[in-house]
Amino acid sequence: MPHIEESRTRKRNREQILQTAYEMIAERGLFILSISDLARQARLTRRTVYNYYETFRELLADLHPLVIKHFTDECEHWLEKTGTDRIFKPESGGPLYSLFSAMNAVMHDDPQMLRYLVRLDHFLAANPDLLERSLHPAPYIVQHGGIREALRELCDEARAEELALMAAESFIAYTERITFRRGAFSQAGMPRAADFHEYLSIMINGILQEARG
Amino acid sequence: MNLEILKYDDSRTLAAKRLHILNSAYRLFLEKGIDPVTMVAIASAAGVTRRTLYNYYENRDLIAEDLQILTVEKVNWFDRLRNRLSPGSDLFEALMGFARELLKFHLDEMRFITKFDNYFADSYPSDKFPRYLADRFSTLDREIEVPSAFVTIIQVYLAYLQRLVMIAGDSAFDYAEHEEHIALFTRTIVRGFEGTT
Repeated sequence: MPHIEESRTRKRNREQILQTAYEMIAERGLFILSISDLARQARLTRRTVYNYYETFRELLADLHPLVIKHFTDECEHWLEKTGTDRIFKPESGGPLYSLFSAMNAVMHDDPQMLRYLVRLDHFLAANPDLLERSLHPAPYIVQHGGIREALRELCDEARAEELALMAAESFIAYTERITFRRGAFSQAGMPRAADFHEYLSIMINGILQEARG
Repeated sequence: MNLEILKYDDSRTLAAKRLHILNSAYRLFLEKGIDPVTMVAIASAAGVTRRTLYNYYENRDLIAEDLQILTVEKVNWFDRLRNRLSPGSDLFEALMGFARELLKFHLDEMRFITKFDNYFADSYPSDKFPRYLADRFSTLDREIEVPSAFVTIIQVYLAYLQRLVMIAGDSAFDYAEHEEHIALFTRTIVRGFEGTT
């Protein structure tokens, strides 16, 4: 929870609002979310909710960093638990491999988080100014994933940035299409997407070749 | 648009009206997205009464689903790609040609499909669209045999293109502006694929 000095009741209400918003975004997305719906779901009055957040922008500015923090903690935890090496080895794709594997595993284990992130991503496409750009999924991955830094050993800075951003966008596209929609797609009898690692090895292989020139 | 694929038992008059309703709804969806469009708005855009509209469709989502089938059929990813991937063709050139065609000449269709996919990400309005896909894929399965890695790259490729369209939103999407980036992504995917298999 954000570090704000406030009474216990206010703190509880704020937590209640943020938790409800998180669940509702995961469930329905932001397009159809209103403060009234949020208040009803959180069992608070509209006036009370407005007391804490007047706009969704303010609400997301508190909520999203919390979700991201939780997500990255879970990823770190997964890396520790599986003993996946984070040290950069160009041949093996180093951070690309470990970061995306961790993210993929965590999202599989926590479908609500996957839903939240995908829904948020869809909404940001239409409303990019809602969140500070550094908190958008792809730039965030580039900023904190170590991919760009790793690629910098193979190519210049601008190229590393470009390739890192492309890797992040591609990972998100893959996740949305294949992990998130798996239900809908398998229902359609579509050829089952090959394993995540197949995608990852193709992508990493390609990116390393591009980085080397 | 050819409504045959939707398998209605309409007389010619009814079919013409259905087509008119679908066209009106398509324009509304493209302009506003799926969620804000109501049956009332569709009726009014099509110049029919609500009662007439309900004779054709029970709800908005079913209209969107019919439009999705028509749009996917029109864009025809499957044949388009297959035509470009004849034996001996260059994979990079084939994918670039595919992307160019979709993003230059079928941008509205790509937009509609993207809006539909995002809005109905969890489940489709009925089993009509998944059944259509299943039909389409079962024909495809019989006709060509491809390695699973290839299916993966095609899926990722399409997802990536759709993502570009999504991020551009409703602002004009200038293919020429994105071509260099699309070429980089295409090359990466192709090099990765060829290096892996």
